[in-house]
Amino acid sequence: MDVRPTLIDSLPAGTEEAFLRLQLRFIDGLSDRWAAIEVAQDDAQRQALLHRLKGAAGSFGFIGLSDAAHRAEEAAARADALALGTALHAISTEIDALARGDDASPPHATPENPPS
Amino acid sequence: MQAKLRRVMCVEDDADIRMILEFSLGTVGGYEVCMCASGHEAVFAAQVFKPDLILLDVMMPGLTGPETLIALRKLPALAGVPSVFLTAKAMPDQLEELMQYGATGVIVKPFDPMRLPRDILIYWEHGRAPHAD
Repeated sequence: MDVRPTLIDSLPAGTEEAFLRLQLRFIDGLSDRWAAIEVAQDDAQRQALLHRLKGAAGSFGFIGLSDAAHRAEEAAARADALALGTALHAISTEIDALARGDDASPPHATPENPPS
Repeated sequence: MQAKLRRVMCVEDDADIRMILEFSLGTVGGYEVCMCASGHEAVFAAQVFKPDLILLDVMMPGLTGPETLIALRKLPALAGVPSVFLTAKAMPDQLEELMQYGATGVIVKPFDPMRLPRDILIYWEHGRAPHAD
């Protein structure tokens, strides 16, 4: 699970709990988003759902999920079935990890957190 | 000319994004926020809420963001209100196309909820003084 490393630290005092509650509500809704992506009627609809997931997940600080949705959206746009399958699997893994509350992917590389 | 940005209207069909926008702009930024789930809702609500700035999602069912902005611009009280598009499409040609609808700026999703209040303030200051350089 790749969460924007500094997001919680940068929250104004007294708002951390409210933000965490919002994150949990977002996580609760991920299974519905995933189900909609799985049963999308066509590529255009799937692409639109992935596009929304990318924007929403990143804004809640879930960068790994946002990146996976971005890769899937791009793969769907160029009709690359192999890349789409890989990216969809990554999305599923990220969602499962968020639902369990554990880490699915290594932390995002940032100046404060360089890759080892 | 009003000296402070107070009322922000957000038009966004995704309920989760509306939730984080309300947190970002209301709780963190301290603005008075009006959330609309569609362009049609925004056209009605804007006449009562009288926003100082309008933040619009681009891809929405029904009226899209650009179509909503065109409809809002037809209302005399809202014709000059600074507006900012919110989009997950970040290619330069896509951003340029959005600016052609008369928006003050474009914010790319995902956005940082801690930074968004400052970003829209900058756009508002720029948008309310279009002739100042």
